[in-house]
Amino acid sequence: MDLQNHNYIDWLSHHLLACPFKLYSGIDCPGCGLQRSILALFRGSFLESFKLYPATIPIIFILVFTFIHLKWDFKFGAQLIKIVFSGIAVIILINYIYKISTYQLLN
Amino acid sequence: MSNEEGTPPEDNQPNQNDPNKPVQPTNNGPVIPPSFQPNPSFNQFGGMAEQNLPNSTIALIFGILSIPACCCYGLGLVFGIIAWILAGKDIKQYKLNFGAYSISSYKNAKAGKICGIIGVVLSALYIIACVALISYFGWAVLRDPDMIKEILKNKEA
Repeated sequence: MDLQNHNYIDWLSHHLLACPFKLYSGIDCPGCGLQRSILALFRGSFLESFKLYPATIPIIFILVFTFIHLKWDFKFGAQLIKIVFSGIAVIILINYIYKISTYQLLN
Repeated sequence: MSNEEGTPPEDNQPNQNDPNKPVQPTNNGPVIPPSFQPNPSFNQFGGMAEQNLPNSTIALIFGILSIPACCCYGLGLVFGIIAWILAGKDIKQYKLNFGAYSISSYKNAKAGKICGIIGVVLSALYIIACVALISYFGWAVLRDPDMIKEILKNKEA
């Protein structure tokens, strides 16, 4: 079972959707790293996932939380979603600026 | 004589009908009907379940999806704009008709609108960056990663 899981993840890692921006230009776009980061999460390494794309964990959290919120309707739900969402936007922007400033774009 | 006979029955009637209720003076007679009226009105507006706004859920989901999708072929722009418009409609509808819709769905619609706006801004930044890169380097150079590397190296040097 474990072997099968690993095979599946390996297969996924060879069949990622190519970012059109990166495909044509070779330059990372602000979303590049998301899929690799999710795969790292599947393998169980949070740290690697965070290094590849810091916003992955908040994004997964907000998606899961939204469905829970729509089902059970928390009082603070909408407020929390707004805050986490703007946090994600800020993380993505900072991450991209950091990548530009450290010349990590051309990998 | 007629006045003395008329008043006692009015005092006695409430005592006979509702023994648990405190005895009230006869002057409060007109107050009794309002005390009965709130019950039907409560059933009509408060008791019946408030409807959710029709598009609040979709707006919220699309608004949130607009960020993960913002780097996939500019899909985030589409998601964000749809969420923004749907949520805007719902907020207008809620403000026209205060009592008919539930507050939680209004909050969801508001959250969806904000998420949509942020998603639109991010996607717009991404598209502007794309256009800027293309216009700066030129399309032919962008097709060739090695040429970009050379140009950047020359800039750094």
